[in-house]
Amino acid sequence: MSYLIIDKVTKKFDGTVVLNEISLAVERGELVTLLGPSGCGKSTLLRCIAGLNEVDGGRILLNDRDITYLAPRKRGVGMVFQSYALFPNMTVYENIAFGLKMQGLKGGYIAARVKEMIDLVGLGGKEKSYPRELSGGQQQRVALARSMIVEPDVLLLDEPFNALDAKIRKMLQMELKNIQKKSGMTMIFVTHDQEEALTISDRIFVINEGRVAQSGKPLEIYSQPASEFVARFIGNFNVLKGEEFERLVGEPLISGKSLAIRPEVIKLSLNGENGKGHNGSWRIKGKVVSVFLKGNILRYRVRSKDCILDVDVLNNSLDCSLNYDTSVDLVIPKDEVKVLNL
Amino acid sequence: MRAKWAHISKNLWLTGALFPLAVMIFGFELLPIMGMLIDSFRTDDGNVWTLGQYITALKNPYYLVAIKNSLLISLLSSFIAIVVAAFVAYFITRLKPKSQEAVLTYVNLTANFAGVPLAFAYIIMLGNSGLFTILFQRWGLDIFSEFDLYSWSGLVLVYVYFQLPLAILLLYPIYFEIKEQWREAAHLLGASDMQFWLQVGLPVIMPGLVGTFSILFANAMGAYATAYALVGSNYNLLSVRIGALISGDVYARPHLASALAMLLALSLIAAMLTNEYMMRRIRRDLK
Ligand SMILES: Nc1ncnc2c1ncn2[C@@H]1O[C@H](COP(=O)(O)OP(=O)(O)OP(=O)(O)O)[C@@H](O)[C@H]1O
Ligand SMILES: [Mg+2]
Repeated sequence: MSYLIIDKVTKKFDGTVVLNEISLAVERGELVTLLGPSGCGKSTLLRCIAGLNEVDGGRILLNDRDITYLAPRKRGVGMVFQSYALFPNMTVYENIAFGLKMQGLKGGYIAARVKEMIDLVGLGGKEKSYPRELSGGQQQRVALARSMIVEPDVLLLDEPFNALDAKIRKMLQMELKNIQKKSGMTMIFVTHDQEEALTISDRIFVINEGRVAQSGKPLEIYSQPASEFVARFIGNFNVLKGEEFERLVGEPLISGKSLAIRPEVIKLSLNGENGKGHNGSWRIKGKVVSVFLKGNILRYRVRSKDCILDVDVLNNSLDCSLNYDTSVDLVIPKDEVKVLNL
Repeated sequence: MRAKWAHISKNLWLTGALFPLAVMIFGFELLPIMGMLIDSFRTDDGNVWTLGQYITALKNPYYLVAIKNSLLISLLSSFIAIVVAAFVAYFITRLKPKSQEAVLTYVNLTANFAGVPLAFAYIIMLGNSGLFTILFQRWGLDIFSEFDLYSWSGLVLVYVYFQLPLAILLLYPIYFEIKEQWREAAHLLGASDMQFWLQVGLPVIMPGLVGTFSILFANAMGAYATAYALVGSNYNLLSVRIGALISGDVYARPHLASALAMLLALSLIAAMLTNEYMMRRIRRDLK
């Protein structure tokens, strides 16, 4: 049996269904992410697991215990809030020590454990600072240490890095991953940033409208999206209707379903170069509509037979001088075209 | 250049806007206080510098008792009001927004109900021939036979009554300083409700409590009309004494009144400093 089981949990707010019989299972020691657009119910699910919201149906099992109706403090669930929620009247030390103090443990033991945690999250020297004297990143480390020190059975993190700038965010993602591996703690991480989810998770649950749209390892989700929603949400797939695609490649296809193509698998060349497409791919003509510079990648938006395709090209492989209206050839490998079932 | 001008004109504008306030503070606050301060060091005829007024104020048992009574009733009524208000205000914050508005409007109304009208209302209800006093007598209930509105406990009751709405209005907003997520975080870390309040809730609102207490204390120390209407000059209070010395029928001693008023002001300053000191001990995170 899995370590944490969410079994058909339903949650309504004033009659509006936010979680719709959602089910998922997490193994011990895993770091999974709940990924989904704003308002899809990620925070609500975390709050249900923590007991901060009551569920309207279903069961939650943690470590062989039914915790569905337990009080939050009896669940063995920790939580890191997006707003950190540090106690403003306490120092870093006191914040981190809080949980152990509530357990009535001895001062000497607490001191030793707090020191360990402070070292683990890299906050040495800040013990006596108050939260308002810390940067956002430092506050988030305190929040992490504060909830980890009581060794909860599962730690929930609700968009913990959202308020931080990109650089610190990347760094903390890596650190969190390391800390998680080192401690072996089971963690559920919520984000609406697909890149973040792909970077840190062992497994991803893509959530849409209060249900799991798809779950799997990051690479699986990224390369094999099961639905149009997932394809669009992850990795900026080009999603085309069956008819559109038939018009584009001039070949009838068996299924009438939608198709998804990742921008980076399409090869782009100037007209006439590189000869013809071969058996394994389609070759089509188009015109550049626009180009976006995305750091090491250039994203061309190409129009072909009234379809728009995004094509990612490494920033060094072509002249950036492919301006508006330049005619180009696109080569689409056949086996990179994913048929979507939903 | 243009930015600089904008800056200057903004400053000018601000100064202009603040000018009436400055005039008011100076004219209606500072000037009278200065005048009183000078007066308090003058003899009754106003001609010679002296410490005599203060010596009288602090040596004459009559005035000493007035000071003591005022301090006592102010501390006591502020304390009762703040404890009760702490609970009431908290429960108001737990109501639905619509009900909160209604309750606050009501509290606001009662907050303005003070002075002579309030005293009069109490006399009608609980005075010697007050409505409830007589009603309860008829019903054979003895609750008010011991109670004397014109006594110490009567005065405390009335003081608490006019302090309470003010306390509630002042305390109500400070509860919003407690973020819901602090409570949630504390619970998830194993804290009970009680532990949350002791460790986080109370320390967070402590500055507000302390500040409110100062205001209540000042409010009570300065209360004159209510006290006067209720107990006349039967009961010996500092504000009543000062009033009597200024407009006394027998004989006015405005210089002694000034000295007493300065002592009253001193007590307010002392209260503020004590509160400040206490707050800093409790909330070390606030410099
Ligand atoms: N306390 C509440 N009362 C009423 N509706 C709520 C409440 N909390 C959440 N909702 C609604 O439930 C839906 C899901 O909210 P939730 O916060 O779980 O979304 P989310 O996936 O965490 O989104 P985000 O990425 O923006 O944080 C939203 O439509 C929200 O308006
Ligand atoms: Mg959320």
